[in-house]
Amino acid sequence: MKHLLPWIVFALLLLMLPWLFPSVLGISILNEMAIAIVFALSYNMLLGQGGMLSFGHAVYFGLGGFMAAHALLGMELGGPIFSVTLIPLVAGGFGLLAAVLIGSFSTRRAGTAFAMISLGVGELLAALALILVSFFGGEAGISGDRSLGPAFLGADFAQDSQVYALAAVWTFVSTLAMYLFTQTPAGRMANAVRDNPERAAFLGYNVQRVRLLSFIVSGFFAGVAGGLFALHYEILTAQNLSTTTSGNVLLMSYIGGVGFFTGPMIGAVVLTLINSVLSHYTELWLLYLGLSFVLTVMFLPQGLTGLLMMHRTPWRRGRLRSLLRPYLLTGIPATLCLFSVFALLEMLHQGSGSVMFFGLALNTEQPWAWLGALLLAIAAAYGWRRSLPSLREAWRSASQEDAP
Amino acid sequence: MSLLQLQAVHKHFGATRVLEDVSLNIEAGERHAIIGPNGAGKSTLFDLVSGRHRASSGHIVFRGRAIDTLPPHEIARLGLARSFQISSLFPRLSAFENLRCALLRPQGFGLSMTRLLPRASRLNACADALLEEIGLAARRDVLAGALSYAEQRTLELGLALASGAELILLDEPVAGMNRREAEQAIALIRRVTQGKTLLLVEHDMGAVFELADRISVLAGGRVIATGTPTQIRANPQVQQAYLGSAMTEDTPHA
Ligand SMILES: Nc1ncnc2c1ncn2[C@@H]1O[C@H](COP(=O)(O)OP(=O)(O)O)[C@@H](O)[C@H]1O
Ligand SMILES: [Mg+2]
Repeated sequence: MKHLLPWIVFALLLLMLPWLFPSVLGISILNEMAIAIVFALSYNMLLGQGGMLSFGHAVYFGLGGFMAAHALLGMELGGPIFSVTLIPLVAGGFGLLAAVLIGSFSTRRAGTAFAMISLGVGELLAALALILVSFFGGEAGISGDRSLGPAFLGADFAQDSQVYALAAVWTFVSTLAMYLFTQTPAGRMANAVRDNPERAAFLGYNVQRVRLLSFIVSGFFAGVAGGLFALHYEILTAQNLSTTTSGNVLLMSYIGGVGFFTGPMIGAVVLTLINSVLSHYTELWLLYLGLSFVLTVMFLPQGLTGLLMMHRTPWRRGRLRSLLRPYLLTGIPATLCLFSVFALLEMLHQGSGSVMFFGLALNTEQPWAWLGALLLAIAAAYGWRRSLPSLREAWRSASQEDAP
Repeated sequence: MSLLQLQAVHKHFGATRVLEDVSLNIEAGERHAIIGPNGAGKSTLFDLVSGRHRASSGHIVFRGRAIDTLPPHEIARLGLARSFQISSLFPRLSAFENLRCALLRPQGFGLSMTRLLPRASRLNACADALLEEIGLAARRDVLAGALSYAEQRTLELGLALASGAELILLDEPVAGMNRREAEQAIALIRRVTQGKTLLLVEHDMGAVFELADRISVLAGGRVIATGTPTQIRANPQVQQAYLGSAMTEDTPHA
């Protein structure tokens, strides 16, 4: 029963969230999160579990999405009419097909060769998307209407909330399926090939087959995510299979933590929030996104999930509370420092006039605004550094196993 | 016919001639040791047989089939398993998972996408039994990369023995173990290779004389003698080329 608990919590969360955030924006962000979760989990089948660093995963997402958009468009133009609940399946099937074709040569090698091929294929598809206008729709993309299929349980999917219900079911089922894959021989051998392909070969495994299998399953779920995207936005453009989208899913998985099954889910939620909330408030959000990626790679190689998991030992030992004070002593100056750096960046970006920064009007023509932010940044950075040794010491004593 | 035949096998890396005209017959059911000084080409010989490298010329026949152009996984599927002189494990998987990976194919799980490992109770019991047998039960859930050197050597041996292959190649399995660990490993090798064929490279003469039915001596890239332990001990050419005074029974092993 114990291993069912996380799934019950996950299902409850999916059920409750639309009640907690019922606004149009809220539901829309929830849909984006659901899509991102499936996409990032499919990506981590390659990176975290299979040791394949891909720079072109949006290809399968995008191709699935375009196929879904065509299916929707087809209903409008007198093609076959079917329930849109099956759109993600159509998209997944197309993603799978693309993965079979491309994976059959790209999985021959892992490491740099694989990464370079994925980048090349990604660029190739992005270029093709602008050339093959009949399938990709050129600059305008392909748009369809999701409400033309037969109603399902009374839902015609004209509203975002109905799409959320559909996306939530698909997300739950896809997550469960991808988790179960990690528990199969195919999933475990993907880990083994990631760690040591040569040894796996001497155990009788064709390592290309092992990689290809993960690659195909991953392509399917990337396609499913693309199908959900098509349902949510009702439009696909070349940008959706570009390397920018591929880079984004890499960021999500990495910031969440590629070493854990739940890592990419956490990354997907956090980055979707950052993207939609931050982009609402500042034009510099891409810069902050890049900064958080660099900081993650440098200081949290295990990602946010790794950071959470680090606290298991102190928690088991009932020592979490002893960390509170050192966390505050480090956290407050660190936050102050980052915020004054952000204030400086915002003022630099503005150039002239004043910037609203957390309700504070910073006038870029006033030297004191610059000086104040700069001095605060330096002072806070000093306090931050000073606090680190005691934090480290507190960590050591809180997470040390008891002497026998 | 012999289980494994090497017919006039040569191997050179660029200008370095490592093996020259090596011919060797390994009979089904025998335990055959290959001894020789460092750099004699023993590991290279294993690499050729297991498909890691290709012979420059000559043929290798296993179960009546030429295997000298097959990739490693196909040779392994014909019933050949090996261990490495330098441990080659799955570092981010636990000791238990390492052994379970080695058991998957022999137990018919292959690359299944429909069977769940936590429910494969017979497979898991086998992996645990093997872990017990090699003495790593207490380290079951430790990542292979975090095991001590000696523990990694033991797990390396476990990976080769797990497969239940017809022909097992062990490259210096007890190197780096203390006397007690080595004795346990030798007993384990003897037990697990019962009714199987063993090809063994080992510097520990105690292990060699305890395990081997026949011994071949490799020196300067050539097999200079093959015979029973008694014959090898008595062979003056061998004594001169390699063993020297180490041949006397009471000499402490290296
Ligand atoms: N991949 C390789 N490339 C070049 N030389 C090699 C390679 N592998 C082994 N050798 C050389 O072949 C010789 C035999 O090595 P090896 O088979 O490891 O000896 P042994 O196992 O008997 O100690 C050594 O001189 C070694 O330097
Ligand atoms: Mg060697």
